Amino acid sequence: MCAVQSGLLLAVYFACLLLVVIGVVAYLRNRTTGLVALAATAATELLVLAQVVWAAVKLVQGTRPAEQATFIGYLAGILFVLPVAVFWSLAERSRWNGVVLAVASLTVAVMAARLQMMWRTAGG
Amino acid sequence: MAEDRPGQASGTGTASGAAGSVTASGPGRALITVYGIFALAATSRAGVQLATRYHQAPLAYLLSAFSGVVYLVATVALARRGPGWHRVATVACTVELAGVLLVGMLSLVRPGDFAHPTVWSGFGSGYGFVPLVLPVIGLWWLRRTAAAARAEG
Repeated sequence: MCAVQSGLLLAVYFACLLLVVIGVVAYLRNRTTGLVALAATAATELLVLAQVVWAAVKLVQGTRPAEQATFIGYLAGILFVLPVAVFWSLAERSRWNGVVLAVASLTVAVMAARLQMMWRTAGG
Repeated sequence: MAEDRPGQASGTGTASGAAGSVTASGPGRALITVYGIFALAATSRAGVQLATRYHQAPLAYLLSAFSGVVYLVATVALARRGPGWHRVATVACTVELAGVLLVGMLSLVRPGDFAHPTVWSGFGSGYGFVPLVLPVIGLWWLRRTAAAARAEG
């Protein structure tokens, strides 16, 4: 187990949770998401990026997770979820932006959890 | 908020692509987000399965790939405007519903053939049953937007 990676993952979970709250609150208040949501999304994406770089370095150094192909697929995929969601929500200026944000950040959290599981079973 | 627009004729909002699609606005925007995520999840999962261990369970993995294609078609069709794409989306969602019901049932009746899970196994239990609910919401949304989509044509 890698302590640093766990800490980063915890930060990712927390940031995703925050994004879900921001999205749901925007939906409930019948507002479109604004700059705060955008900044929070950017910060979350940076955390995700740091996590991916960290895991990539570990892979290069020789740690082998369970189901390596799937692991690498998740590493690549998790980077795109938030940027694509932001791009997708730009054209929509309604309360449903918040739902898009919540769905995307929930997905990132689930993907991070899957990554963590695969990493654990490797025992590296 | 389209309702807040001033009453003057802004009638020629006929941008192509997703911009003016009635199925891609409001709740549809969120629905397509979920569809897009499942398209990504199912196709990449199938890609890995087929590339690394096709012979272990050809049926399950081909089904995985098929479900991925269905999600992909549904995502694109829902995002596009016009009655043609609306029909394509309806077909895709119907196939999706039939698929999740059929595969869900078979995976319970003949678990031996479905030891290697697909997105639709156990009615999508591996994905929080979202695969079971998604086509129902999709078809409901397509029904609600049918008249407006015809007008887009």
